[in-house]
Amino acid sequence: MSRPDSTNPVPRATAPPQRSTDPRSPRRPPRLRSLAAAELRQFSRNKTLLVMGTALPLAIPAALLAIERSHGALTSVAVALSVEAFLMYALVFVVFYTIVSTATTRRNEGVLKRLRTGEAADIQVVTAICAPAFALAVGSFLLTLVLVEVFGGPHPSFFPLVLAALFGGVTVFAALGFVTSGFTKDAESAQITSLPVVLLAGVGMTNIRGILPEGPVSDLVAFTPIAVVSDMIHLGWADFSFWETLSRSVKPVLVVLAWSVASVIIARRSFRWYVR
Amino acid sequence: MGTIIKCEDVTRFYGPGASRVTAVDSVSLEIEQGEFFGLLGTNGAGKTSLMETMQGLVQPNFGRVAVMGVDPVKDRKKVRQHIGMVLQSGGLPRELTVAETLTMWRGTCSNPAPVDSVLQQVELGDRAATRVGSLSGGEQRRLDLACALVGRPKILFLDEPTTGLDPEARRSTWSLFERLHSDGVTVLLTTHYLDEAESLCGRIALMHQGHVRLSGTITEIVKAQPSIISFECSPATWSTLPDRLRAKSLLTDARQCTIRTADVQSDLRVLLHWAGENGLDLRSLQAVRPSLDAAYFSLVDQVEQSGAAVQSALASGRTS
Repeated sequence: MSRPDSTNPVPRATAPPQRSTDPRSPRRPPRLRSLAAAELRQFSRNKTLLVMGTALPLAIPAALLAIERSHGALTSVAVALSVEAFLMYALVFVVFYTIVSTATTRRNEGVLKRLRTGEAADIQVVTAICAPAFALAVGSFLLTLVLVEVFGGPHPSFFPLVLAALFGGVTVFAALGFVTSGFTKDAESAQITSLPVVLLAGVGMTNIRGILPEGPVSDLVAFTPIAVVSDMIHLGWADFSFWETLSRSVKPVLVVLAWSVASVIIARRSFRWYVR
Repeated sequence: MGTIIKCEDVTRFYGPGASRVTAVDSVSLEIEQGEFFGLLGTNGAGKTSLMETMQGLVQPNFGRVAVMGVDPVKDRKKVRQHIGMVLQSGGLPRELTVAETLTMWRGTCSNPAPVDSVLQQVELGDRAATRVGSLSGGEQRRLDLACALVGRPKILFLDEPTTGLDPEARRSTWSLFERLHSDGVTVLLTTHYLDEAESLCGRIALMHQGHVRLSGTITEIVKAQPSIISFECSPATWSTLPDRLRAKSLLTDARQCTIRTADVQSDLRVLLHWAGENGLDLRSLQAVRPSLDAAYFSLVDQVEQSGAAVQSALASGRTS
């Protein structure tokens, strides 16, 4: 590096602390936008995460809806089961797994430590890590609704509950992603450390719950995250009256809320910013 | 020019109970605005641990740190926008390009400089489209430096910034630091390259085992050190040395006579006069003026000898 010459537009390091009016210094984007854009860019360059996060979440409901449609007109239950299958996949393999992998990789690269030396707040760094997963989960959810429309399925009877299921599930599985990253050494070992959450999610699916014998185990499984999210999806497509839907949704909504609060608290305590 | 960084009795330790290691032990120092200050020491001397308290990355266990008059941890928002840091290890996302990385960093700064000009400043303009993972170690260090500069810092913390750079890149990085310093940036550099400190720093503090053992300008520190006169000499010849010189001298087993002197010119004159009178040929005669290296190694030797003396006293106390 040679000494810059006088014609070189070198920024003066002692500029005033307030936002520069220097015409050579274009306005900076908000911190979160800048960090999230970098995360999205990196996500788009990771072929494994890209395929897992884009093609598969849509292939699952598309296949299920097509099969059901081939048997006749789509029922509310069939649509709810397809949306539930989508949501299970999106929450576990798009939101949870992407966050475990990304947070662990950024920590191992030293990026998290480096970002903490700058002006960005911790919450901005964490939200940026979540950005690709959130964008894909919401985007593919909207496309799933389009698929339901294309296959001629019924609309949800109580859409706010379906939205609450989506955002509650995203919050819980994002937080569980940071918790899991806390004890994950690298992106490869994430395949092993993710198993407890994958199993926790799997047992909550309606089809699995259906084959469990009634008793304390099935009662316990009914409180798992995917179980309550599924209940909300099914209620969202059910033909109950408004008040009945509302009263039946109190329990799953409260359980999702409790999972959200608990998992966020544990994530805040257990997440590691630095490599030990 | 006022004090921009002030440390009072800063102590930092790691680990619990009996396994506790004190990395920084009651260190007090002040750094003036616009100063180029060097923290020197071997690995494990406590340089980085002390610097982290000034950067506001951690609170000291005891003592107080003020940066621009405020606590850098509690008043993080006030302070952080005015400081740039280069850490010992990088921390750059491998999948982004050079320009994308700096654009991301720029977006987190309150008062950023344009990406292109900062890349030119660190001579990475032609590598803007290259992925970070494909950069050489030296180029990654320069990109790291670019991230520290893009926020137009008033204080620049450089933690061993030239480690891994080839000699040419080191020299050009030095000239960049000098330019930033001449622009009024306060620079705090940790390094274990004594020549780096000698070239760049106005004032330094020498750290060893968590303590600041010496501090001042390089001239002050060096001036307090003796010059060294050395030559080959047999024990018989050494015994005939003038008393004035013999008292200051040491004869090694390898028949090397070393005279440590604060008055090199006068003692050299006496030595040459004695050699001339006795018809001696002083082989391998050298007179070396004091240097920062000498000051540093003399300090380390003194501390280790006093440590050994304490250990020995403790051991004899136990056996008596």
